[in-house]
Amino acid sequence: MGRSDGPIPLRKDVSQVNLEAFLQELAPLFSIEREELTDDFALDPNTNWDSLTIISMMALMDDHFEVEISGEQLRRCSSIGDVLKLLEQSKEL
Amino acid sequence: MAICSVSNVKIAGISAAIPEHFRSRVDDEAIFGKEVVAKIQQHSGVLSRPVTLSGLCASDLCFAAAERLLENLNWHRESIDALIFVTQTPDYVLPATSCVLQERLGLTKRCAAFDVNLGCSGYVYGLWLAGQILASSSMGRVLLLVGDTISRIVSPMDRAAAMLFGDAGSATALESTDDEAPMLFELGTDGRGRDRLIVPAGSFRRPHTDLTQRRTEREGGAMRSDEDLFMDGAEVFSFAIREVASLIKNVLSHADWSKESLDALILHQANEFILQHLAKRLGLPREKVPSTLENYGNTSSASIPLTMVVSLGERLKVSAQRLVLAGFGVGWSWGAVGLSCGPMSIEGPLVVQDEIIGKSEELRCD
Repeated sequence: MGRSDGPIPLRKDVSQVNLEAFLQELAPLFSIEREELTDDFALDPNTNWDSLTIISMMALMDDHFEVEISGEQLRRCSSIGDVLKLLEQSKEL
Repeated sequence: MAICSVSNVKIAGISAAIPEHFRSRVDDEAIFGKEVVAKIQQHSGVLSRPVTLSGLCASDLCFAAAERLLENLNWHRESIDALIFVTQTPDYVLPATSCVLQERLGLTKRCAAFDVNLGCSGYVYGLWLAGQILASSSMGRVLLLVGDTISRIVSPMDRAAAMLFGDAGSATALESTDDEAPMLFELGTDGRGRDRLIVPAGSFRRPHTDLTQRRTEREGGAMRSDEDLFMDGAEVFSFAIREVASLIKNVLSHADWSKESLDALILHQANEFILQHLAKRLGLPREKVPSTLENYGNTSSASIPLTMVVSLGERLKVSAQRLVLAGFGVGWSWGAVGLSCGPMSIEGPLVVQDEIIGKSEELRCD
């Protein structure tokens, strides 16, 4: 298994400050500490990755970045790294 | 649709009705277990909701609400020029349930009557239609009946839907006046969302078969048939944050109302999480965005008038209130209206006994 050096930094207008605030609020959705939320953190039924968590994540994305990412896109993510990539792409559009 | 203004139309009164029985945490825990119920409730905000147990129809609830409203207003039956019934749970495939209601309510043969098949957005659409009818003709009074019994099309073993929906009906009386401030409407549709909140089978596109009524295991362990309601909660949320905040901002800006000057924003009671998020997005304090989810759940098309009755009834009885009402969901279909209304006759929710009305109507039809 891979890195545990924290989430990948995002480019452009996704500021590190917003990102950090987002991740701080995201961690409790998985009942874990912020430090445990690395980009290889797996998203599957064992880590509480269900439709309610997806909805809560969408709300946080709207709060912190004002981006709308569909449930379908999030459902296809298998790790936090995938989510951050989606976020980065949506900001580049 | 661009902003549309309807002038010289007044809401004279509103009433709501619910079935007598409530489903609550205890009933849900027996099916889903404590942990799941607690988790869903935290998100939905629904602790109990009224549900019919013996086949009460939306029309029965609306009938009870309308009878009481006409009595309270002292409106003669022959003075009603049009009856609009908004529902997604009609009595029959045909005829239109509004025809059944015209007869049950003793309205005259000169009364226009028609059904509108809309859910979450239905109350705002109903007000728009009623307003247009009154503003553009010599008609003087319209009765708008809006309600649903969604509990009857939900699988009791589908956790996403089973613990959310309640049953309710409403009646709203509208009339022409000379000096009423305009109501400002914005309405919209995006049919790409049609399969996200849907009863896929049992009508004409996919008629009923033995297979379509068989409940099988679906995503997330839900047990559901194709004749049960399917709801994709994540896409509903995504749609709501995409369309609804800007919808409300548009209405406020066209009315030239500051959000501080608004007495209340009555949202379709989708679930607590959506209400909370929209209130935050719009920068409105929660006391201006009332919720009736805790006791009544999501009552589909009836949720806006039910919330007006329950949360604003006392104020609307004695004073004018500056309101924005916003309905959004199944379709996707949405609409918002900015209006000043009250003082008015407002009452409810009345409690309708399951057996009595349900059976008497059945007997009459046989």
